[in-house]
Amino acid sequence: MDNKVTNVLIVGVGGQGVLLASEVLSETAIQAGLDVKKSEVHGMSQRGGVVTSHVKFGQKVYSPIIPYGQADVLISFEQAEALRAIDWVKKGGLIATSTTRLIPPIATSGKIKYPDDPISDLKKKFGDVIAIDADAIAIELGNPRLVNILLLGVISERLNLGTETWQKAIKMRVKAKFVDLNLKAFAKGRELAEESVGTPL
Amino acid sequence: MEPYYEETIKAAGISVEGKKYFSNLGELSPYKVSIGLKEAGFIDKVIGSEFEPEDLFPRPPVLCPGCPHRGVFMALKKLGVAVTGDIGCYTLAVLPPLSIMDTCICMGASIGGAIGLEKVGSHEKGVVAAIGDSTFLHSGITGLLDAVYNKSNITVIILDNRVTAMTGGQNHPATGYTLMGEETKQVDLAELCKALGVESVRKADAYDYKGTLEIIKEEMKRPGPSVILTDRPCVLMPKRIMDRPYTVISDLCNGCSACFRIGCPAIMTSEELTKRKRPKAIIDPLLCTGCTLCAQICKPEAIVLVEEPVKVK
Repeated sequence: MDNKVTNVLIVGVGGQGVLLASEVLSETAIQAGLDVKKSEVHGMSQRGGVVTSHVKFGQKVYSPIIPYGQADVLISFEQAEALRAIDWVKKGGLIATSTTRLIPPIATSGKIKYPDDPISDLKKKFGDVIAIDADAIAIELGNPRLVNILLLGVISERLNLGTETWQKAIKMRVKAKFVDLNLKAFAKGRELAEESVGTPL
Repeated sequence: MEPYYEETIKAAGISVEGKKYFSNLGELSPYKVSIGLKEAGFIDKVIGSEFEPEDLFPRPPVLCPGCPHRGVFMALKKLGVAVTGDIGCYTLAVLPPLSIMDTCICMGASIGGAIGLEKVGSHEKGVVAAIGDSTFLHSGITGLLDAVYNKSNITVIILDNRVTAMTGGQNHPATGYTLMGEETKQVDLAELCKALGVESVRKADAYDYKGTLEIIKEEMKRPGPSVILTDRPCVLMPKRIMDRPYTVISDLCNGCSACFRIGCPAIMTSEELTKRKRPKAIIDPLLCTGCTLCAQICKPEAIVLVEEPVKVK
């Protein structure tokens, strides 16, 4: 039996909503009848550090950690953080990142400065990079906190989990009063992805 | 991790090897496991990436936006004293940019360590122990008793945020609730310290930078051990505290970087530079809790309350 496991790595900076994104993705895979394992660093989420979450799903998933070079999809909420995570992504993998730049003081006063153009560095190594100004789009949609669901919308088409399954998971995992807005953000993400060139995974 | 299976199997008289391929230290990542398996001849290739990791700037964790511990460590940094630390969120004060914690050994060791450092007399500016409320109740009480008994000239700051924050928000004997959430007898930290023989026990508002600084200065001058209790609650637990955020008036910001040095994750560097090519500050309105600490130390008074709170539809 073909047991294809899909590996999705979600990265960002504390406070950006990485953990909710990984919960919604995991719930979607569960609702699609798949086995899901996820592993994440919790303590950093409020403390301005790097937050990463590994989500793996398929007929049977044996381990919760994605090995280096094995992520099919990388979702990043910050452009330099996408670059930081490239050794996890497999050759030819999909990268969806926000063009958001969060520059901590240490990246201007320390030895190593914030990179000038992380997105073009990514594009040199990967052919399948979708970069959107997720912050601006989220604010346009009505709430800056929609960045996470917006980016899930962007990659959703490529994961073959079914639009209705995604919508069901969003309703289950997002606070009731924000569900409609998040569904709107998800739809917007799908719309933006149509303009990209890749094929389903 | 110790070679538990290997030793047990060997003890049963069966020849086996394994631990020599794997480290005793750190987490066993798929990468490390594959290196061991390759060395042992089980697989041909290490599971790795074709891409070299990028040499990027670090993004270390800091205290949360609005964390009440920040005001205390800002004051201690200003004073340049020796700080013995303990186990909790506040241990993050060891990292840059605050970098104002000198020791962290085990739960309760801040007070014992401070007693020792003060006895050695190597720190002219004095010694302060910083310990959280739950850590103090777990294993700081005996240390404080020792400080009284042995007449130590130390100041102990109990960072009372009314929760065991680092491990996820558990209750403890000074919260008034059991771990099951039932009401129970609540320890009064000030009375407890007095009962141990501490003559000076004072409260400080950690959101008042100058006030906290003055109280620490006064208590450090006092002979014998003294205790300062801060009483601002954790901003995350049990209830998320979010007040109106602050913002930076860009034209007034002179790029002095004072607010960068308090290590607040809500304060980022703008790509806009001053005439002297120094980056200006910006505040993320989604992260700022309105604690006011950065505004209190902003000399050009560029940090102000936002006029209109961000409207969430």
